[in-house]
Amino acid sequence: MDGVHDMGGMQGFGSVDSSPDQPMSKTDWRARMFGIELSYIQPGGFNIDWMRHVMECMPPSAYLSSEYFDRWYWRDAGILANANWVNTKELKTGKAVNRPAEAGEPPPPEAVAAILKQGVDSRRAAEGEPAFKPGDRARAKFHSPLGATRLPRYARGHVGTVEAYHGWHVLPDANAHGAERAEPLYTVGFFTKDLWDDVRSPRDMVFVDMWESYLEPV
Amino acid sequence: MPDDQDHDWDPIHDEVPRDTRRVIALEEHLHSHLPSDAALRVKALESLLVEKGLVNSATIDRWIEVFSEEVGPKNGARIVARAWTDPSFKERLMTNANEAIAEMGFPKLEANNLVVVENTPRRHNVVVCTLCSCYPWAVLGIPPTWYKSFEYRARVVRNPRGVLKEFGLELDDDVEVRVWDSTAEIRYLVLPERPPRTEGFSEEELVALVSRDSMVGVAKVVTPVRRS
Repeated sequence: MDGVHDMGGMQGFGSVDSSPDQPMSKTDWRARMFGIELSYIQPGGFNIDWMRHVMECMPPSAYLSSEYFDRWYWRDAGILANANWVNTKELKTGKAVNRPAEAGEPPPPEAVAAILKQGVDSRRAAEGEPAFKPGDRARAKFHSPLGATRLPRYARGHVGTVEAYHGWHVLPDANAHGAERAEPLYTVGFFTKDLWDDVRSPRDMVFVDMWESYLEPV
Repeated sequence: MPDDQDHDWDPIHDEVPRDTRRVIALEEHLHSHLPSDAALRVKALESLLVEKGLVNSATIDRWIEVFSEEVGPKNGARIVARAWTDPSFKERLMTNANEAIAEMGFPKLEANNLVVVENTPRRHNVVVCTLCSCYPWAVLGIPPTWYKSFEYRARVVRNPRGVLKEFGLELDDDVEVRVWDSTAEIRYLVLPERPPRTEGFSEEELVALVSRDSMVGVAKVVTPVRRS
């Protein structure tokens, strides 16, 4: 969706504040929020694409004015409330009215090591030959779906060159909305000067990871 | 449970509504009904989820320990130092990073599909996630605040040289800048250039030189002024 999260190339932002961060502390709400998100049972199972998309659906003014880990709060509150696993009153009071029957047991601390070790891999078995190969020219589709996509606005309609093929990966546009399917994934390189007309360096490039359905042959 | 709908996708069991308009309206509702204080809300959320049996507070503690004490940029620094000292490792690293580092014992969370991009005197790489905050946790830890900032996300794709200058890194005009936008589950690690006059350094001494920022691409690795 054409949300405020799709920030690449937006103008009006000032300089980057690179001050070092405070170390994480178990009593700080930011660290608690970080830990909650990695530990709670999600309705319908863990789905990174849905998680990202729910954050994209925050009111734009709230997205821009909330701290990073506060955006995680709004995402997780939204995921839970969307499935009716929590309601507004419960979120306000911290007191449970009922418990979702189908939830199961939350992961214990001993489960952390295995989750950390394995991660969550979006790679799937190939179901056919990729349509593009490194060196091919390809155009990023010009489309604006109201829904999850990982095709940034700045690349849409532009022509780039396939840099790498990464095998088949779960497509966020479908998976976020509950339908897991995979497609070939590529890295596509664009000349920065082709994306914005105020770029002076002729050889600088931006590389974007793109699923096959984001691309059209040139 | 109703199971009477035809789907043109795999019929995975997923009865959760995942509709954009519904969630936009829901988020608007939550924002207008919940208190503004984030610390209060997060505290209430944890209590609520514990009471509902949806989260275990000891697991939250464990994740915080892992990312404050155990997993951080030292992992990436070990990869870099090894690539500088072992040409056959470097060759494998550039071809298939996950296979190359398999025996180093690192976790894989947020780095299942690692790609290493190499800096040279004529080419500088820098990593961003313009859409959110994707970052190779397993080898660099969790991202610094600046990496997740709107300023960095918006500007580094369009004006990388200007942003790098704010980090104190000025690149010559004849150096090609390559910005990697982490829009999928590929995670990028920059292999910085080995600094001059470090020929006699051991692998451990090299590890100590490699900063997190150099592996994101906003800094170079510099030769220490004096060796003891």
